[in-house]
Amino acid sequence: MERIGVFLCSCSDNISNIIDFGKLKTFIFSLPSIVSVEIHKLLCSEEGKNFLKQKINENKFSRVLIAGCSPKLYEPTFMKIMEDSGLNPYLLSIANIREHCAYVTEDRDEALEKAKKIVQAAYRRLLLQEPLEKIDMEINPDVVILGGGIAGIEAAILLKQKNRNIFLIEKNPNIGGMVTRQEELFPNMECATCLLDPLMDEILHSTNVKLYTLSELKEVKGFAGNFEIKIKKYPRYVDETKCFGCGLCFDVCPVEIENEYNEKLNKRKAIYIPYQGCLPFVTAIDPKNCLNFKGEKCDKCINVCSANAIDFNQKEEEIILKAGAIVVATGHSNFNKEKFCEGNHRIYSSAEFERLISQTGPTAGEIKLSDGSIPKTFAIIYCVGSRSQKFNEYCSNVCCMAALKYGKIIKSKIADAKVFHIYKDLNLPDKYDFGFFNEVFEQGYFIRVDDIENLKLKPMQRKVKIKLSKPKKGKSLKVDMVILMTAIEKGESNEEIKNILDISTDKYGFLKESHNRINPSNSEIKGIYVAGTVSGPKDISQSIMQAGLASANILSSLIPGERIQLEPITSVIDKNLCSGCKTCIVLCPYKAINFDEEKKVSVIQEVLCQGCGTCVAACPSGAAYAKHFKDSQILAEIKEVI
Amino acid sequence: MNFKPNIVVFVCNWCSYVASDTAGMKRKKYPAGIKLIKVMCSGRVDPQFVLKAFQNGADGVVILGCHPGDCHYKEGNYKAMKRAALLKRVIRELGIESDRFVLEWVSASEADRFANIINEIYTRIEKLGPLEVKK
Repeated sequence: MERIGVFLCSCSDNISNIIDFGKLKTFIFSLPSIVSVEIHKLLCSEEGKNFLKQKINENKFSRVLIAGCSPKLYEPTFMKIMEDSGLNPYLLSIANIREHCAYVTEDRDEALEKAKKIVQAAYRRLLLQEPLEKIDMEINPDVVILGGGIAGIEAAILLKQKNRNIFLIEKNPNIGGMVTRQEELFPNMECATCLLDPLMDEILHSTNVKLYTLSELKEVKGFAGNFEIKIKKYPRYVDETKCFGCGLCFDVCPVEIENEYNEKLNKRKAIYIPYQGCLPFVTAIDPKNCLNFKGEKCDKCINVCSANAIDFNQKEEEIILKAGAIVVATGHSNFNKEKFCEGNHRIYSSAEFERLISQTGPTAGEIKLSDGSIPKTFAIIYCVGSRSQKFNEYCSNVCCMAALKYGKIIKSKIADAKVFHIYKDLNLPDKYDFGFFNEVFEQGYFIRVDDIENLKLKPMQRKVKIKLSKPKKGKSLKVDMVILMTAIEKGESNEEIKNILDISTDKYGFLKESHNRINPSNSEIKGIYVAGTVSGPKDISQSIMQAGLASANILSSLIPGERIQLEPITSVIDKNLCSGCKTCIVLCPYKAINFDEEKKVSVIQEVLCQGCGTCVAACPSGAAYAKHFKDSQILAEIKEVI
Repeated sequence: MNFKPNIVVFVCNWCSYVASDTAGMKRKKYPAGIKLIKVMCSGRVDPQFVLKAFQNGADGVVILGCHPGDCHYKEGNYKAMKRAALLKRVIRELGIESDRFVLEWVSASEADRFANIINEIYTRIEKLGPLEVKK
């Protein structure tokens, strides 16, 4: 026999001013199984909560109905009281007679009638509600980090600690990402490698960080606290434990190809390291170009290697990792300068110029053109591909400061150089930025135009002619070298990562944050975080901050040894009713439904199910049902409210 | 005749329910004939819920979901959209004016939009008169 306790909260007369509680109480008493109807002035107060608890205990209610404010406000509080009183918290029903009735209805009689219907619907629903138990499981405190750039490295350093393993996945043979390609960093002109090397070193020598180079993400199953991540590790063909980077093999390797690390400004061999001092300092063989993978026999590197490190028997491996959280820090790609203007040996993208000024770059840091000549006049064009109707409408965030940095570096390397800065607007929001600008402003010529896209670049025999756009239309200048400050764009692997992780991208193709303002390091899926330029243009400090926030979220939610409770509001398929049509499998946004080939029925993995109920609404056999939102419960509400 | 329509509005837990709460907090007035039922997602609204509502005497049925792209469950609202298109045709076959069934998007912050939409639908259904299923 059910014993239902009803509590009417007048909300300090906010509700009872409109709804006649006396009449409502009489009406509720006419319903079966009602043991008591208590009117209280403020159930959410300490006194009110004690009152609720006391009445539940005194009257041994089997179910509780509360009529008052929205369940969005105090449902968890009241559920906790139910639990503390020994009642299953899912045997509570809340009738929202404040926001949905008292506050929105003018006529007192109509408000009373509507309140009766709302309470009656909640009552009918309550009778059909079932006790539910939370799913309790142990969490895995380990973390998989995708991408060994600055954001991934920062996250790995913050997260690696006792009782927690970090798996760092990097697609390249070495870590460090885009920052290693820079020589000096704005605004303090510090050496990038000097800042980064100690961090990379810390990771390589940490016992609880396992680095997987030449590896990429293939598949992810599971949920926050318990992910199962499948990665593919491609062979390096060099034994990492033996090679010490002496580089004798480079000299003998007969294959020469463009070095992508140096933006193809010079060559490398088929056995290579991207740059001197990279970490791990181990060579790799590029199977796309090595003769041994083209049906030719070549053993030159094998013969010269004193460490016996070359190993052509290495195979691709699939590795399964288990972790409680995933940080995606796979970075960005750069705008293709050829979309802006035709290629010419005097026109460099910012990424190319960055390598040109680097000690580890193709010219060992000397600014010279491919014909060997030293340029004297420079034009740095801002916003190429950014803030543009034609390409990307967003600001790429770092180019203004990078352009100013180039202005400064050019002047320091070529004292009599003339540098023209052609810009549309300047974005210099950091506290040090304008000081830096003031410094560079003295050394260059700043030309403002309305529109970067309408600049015309015309290569001539020994110069590039730049025809300016409005308001300088009709004017032009000739320079020896042009540097295009190209936009930061979505990473090449964003689409694939999005599909594997089942997260979203924004309209620009960057990975979408759960909330751009208040939750900028979470993705839309619990337990999956984003850090660095994978979620949009950022400079180093912003990438580090986002990585720090992601780490803080993980450290506070994935505590070793703790258990997690999963919400029981999920969907279930009755195997006796399922016809095996698989409609639900296609619809499930969480891939939570599998097909049992033996029994020929669909099965929901409860730990993956988020309880949206889409499968339930679509099931043609009525085999799927949503716990706490069963058809019978909703149909009862429909009947009562009308 | 003073006809006061009865309208069932399905609101999703994450967007439109929150908007309806805020509309209440802002004391936006709407007729008492508008009754809200919470579901976790607009994608949970089984077409039979809509038909049952009409069968039980509703003069109009509304589904309010999150805006496209904002669904808490990623794509439940798209499922609702596809079903709604089909359902509109079905109810017309049953002799119910298709205007009596509406699917709209309301985000959690759009309390005013929530109130405007349901008031507008109410007025439209008031003009249509009580639901009389043509034989």
